[in-house]
Amino acid sequence: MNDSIPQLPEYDPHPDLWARIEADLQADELLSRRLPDLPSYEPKASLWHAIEQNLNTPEPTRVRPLRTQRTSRPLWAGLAAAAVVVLIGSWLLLRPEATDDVRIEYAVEQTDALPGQEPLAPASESLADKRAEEFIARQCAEQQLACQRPEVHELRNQLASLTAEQQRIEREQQIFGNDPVLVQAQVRIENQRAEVTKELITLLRS
Amino acid sequence: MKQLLVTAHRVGMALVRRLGLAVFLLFPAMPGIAQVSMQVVTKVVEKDLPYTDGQRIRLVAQKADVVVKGWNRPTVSIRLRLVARHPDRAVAEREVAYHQYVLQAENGRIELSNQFIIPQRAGKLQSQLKAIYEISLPNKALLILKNSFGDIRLTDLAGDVSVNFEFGKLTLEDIGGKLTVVSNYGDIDGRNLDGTLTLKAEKADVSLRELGGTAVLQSRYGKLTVFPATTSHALTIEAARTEILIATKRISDFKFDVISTFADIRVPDWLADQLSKYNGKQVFTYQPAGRKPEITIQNSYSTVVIQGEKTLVDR
Amino acid sequence: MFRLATPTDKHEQGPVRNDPVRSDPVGKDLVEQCRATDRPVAQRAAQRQLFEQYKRAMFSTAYRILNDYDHANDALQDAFVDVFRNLDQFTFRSTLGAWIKTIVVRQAIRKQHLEGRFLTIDEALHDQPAPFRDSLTGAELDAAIRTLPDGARTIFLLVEVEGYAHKEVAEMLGISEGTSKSQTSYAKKLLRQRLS
Repeated sequence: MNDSIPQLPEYDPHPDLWARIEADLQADELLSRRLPDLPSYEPKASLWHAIEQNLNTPEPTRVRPLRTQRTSRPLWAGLAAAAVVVLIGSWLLLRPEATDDVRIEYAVEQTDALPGQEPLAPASESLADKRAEEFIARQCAEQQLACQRPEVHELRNQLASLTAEQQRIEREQQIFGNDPVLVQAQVRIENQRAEVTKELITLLRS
Repeated sequence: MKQLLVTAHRVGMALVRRLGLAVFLLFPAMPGIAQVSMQVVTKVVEKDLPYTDGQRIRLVAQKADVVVKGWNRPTVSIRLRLVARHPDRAVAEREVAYHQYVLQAENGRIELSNQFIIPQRAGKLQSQLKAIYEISLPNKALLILKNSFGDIRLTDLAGDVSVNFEFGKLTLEDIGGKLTVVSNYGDIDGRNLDGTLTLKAEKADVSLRELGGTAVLQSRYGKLTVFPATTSHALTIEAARTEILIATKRISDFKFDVISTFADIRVPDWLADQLSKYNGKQVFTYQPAGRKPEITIQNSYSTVVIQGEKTLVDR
Repeated sequence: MFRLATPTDKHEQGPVRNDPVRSDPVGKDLVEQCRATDRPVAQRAAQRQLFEQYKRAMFSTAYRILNDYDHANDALQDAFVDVFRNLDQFTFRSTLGAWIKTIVVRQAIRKQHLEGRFLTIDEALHDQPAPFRDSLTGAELDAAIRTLPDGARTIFLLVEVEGYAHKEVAEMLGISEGTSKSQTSYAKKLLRQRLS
């Protein structure tokens, strides 16, 4: 065609180049077909609670724990916290409650139970809970399919939420001691945990 | 596999043992335990606040028993009892001061709250602390109530009430208007509700008698027992893993549309042919003659029982 | 607080792939209720509803990027707090899902401390990895994605799963477009090597 340019030699590509190109294209196609099938996951059941706590940060009604985590918080944080306590304290003292009609009443009640006993269960999880957790984790590791069943997923989420609630009650008990309403709440959670755990174990065994 | 079964059995037994222990520890009233005299020190605060129509009342309570009653005076009347119980009166007197409260009108709203402020140096709390509110307010008032670890009782209200609570029990009696309830682990016992009820319960036992008006009940885990009244407009239940019992005086007073997944629907024998089952689902559709309020139920993994005039169905 | 990404045209158009978040848009009403500070109870209920609607899709994204259940939960928590605190800035120019997703992705990237650190192609690759098996399932693919190095995994997910353009990914991670492209193709090769 154009004789003024000397004919450069032509070279053949590697014989399997088309096969490679085709394999690349196929891989891309298969990948885009499978990506929509990726499983989806559920966050921790307690997450909303944590978000709500965060959104509520200036909430006035918080119990001030007796011994808050004395971790390696810098000095300024301690001072700032102290200042806040002093401010709240003085606000509470100076608040115009004078218009309220306030009186103190005294009474005596007979009761069976002594207050301020040690909380009923140890603060940490029991050995039975640990074993149940280990059993569930092991079953899930060994039978991934069984564990992906929605009902198993749901129950595991429930268990996580009950555990979070249990820990919360334990924190309250650190402050209020063995208060009957807290003990009732604790027993309720324990029972539900037991129920869910049993149901989960039955499901995983079946 | 055998090993797994053995482990599972062991885990189950350990749980049972632990529960047994919990029950044992919870009821320590055994022969031989002497009775103790408890000194009860109560700080009583009383306050009346004028109420204007449309004003919002917000009650944020902690560990409180709350009684709210509607009346026809334009006043919010509050009696707040802040209680400390301990065998030693000096301790109870010292610790009753850990209660703090707010009862005031602020920015056009009425703010009521209590909290516990325990000084860091005070060491572990020794008394039982508890707050008790007795509140009377105009029955058309707008009330927002939040509480944890305490019982709530609401009566004679017909405004716009919103309750969010956990643990403890909520008793509702003679409520109209708009009512929104969110409960976590808190049981609910209602009677004569005739308005617009929206209820969201998790792990709660809910019982509603004479339920009229429009109700949307959402429940996950727990029990739901409803006695619908003929004044009902519509009852919708969206539930999961909730044992549901609908007890009507006469089934033919209502239209039913019930779907249950992986669990049974039980209806009286004479309605058995309205029940269909397929693919793990059961559907009960029943449409008596005439215009009847509709009861729509969705549930999964737990039984739905529909009872009528002949209460032969057992749960 | 980090800067929120301006949604691109690509996000305005919606999903590249089947994405429950973008195919199920949230109404303006719910967004308005989430902003209603004068009605705290309704506001909180609306926020919860929005969270419930998006949590699964958003968590799956964060979990895949971070490859750690607890970190993914932390990222999602921070992201949703940001979402609710910044909801006033959302102008409906994109879908809400796309807007939230960008916040979640940025939180996940922050948690991973990926910015400016990578990205070598350090694993030996066969010249010609075998093609994927036809029987490949989503779960198998998911498991293989988890084995990818952090950088390549994140970029692959953002480009191929979330549908971001290389340019956007480059901006989010502070890398060049070229790096985004080469890491994506590196990730694909590794996947083929592991799934053949």
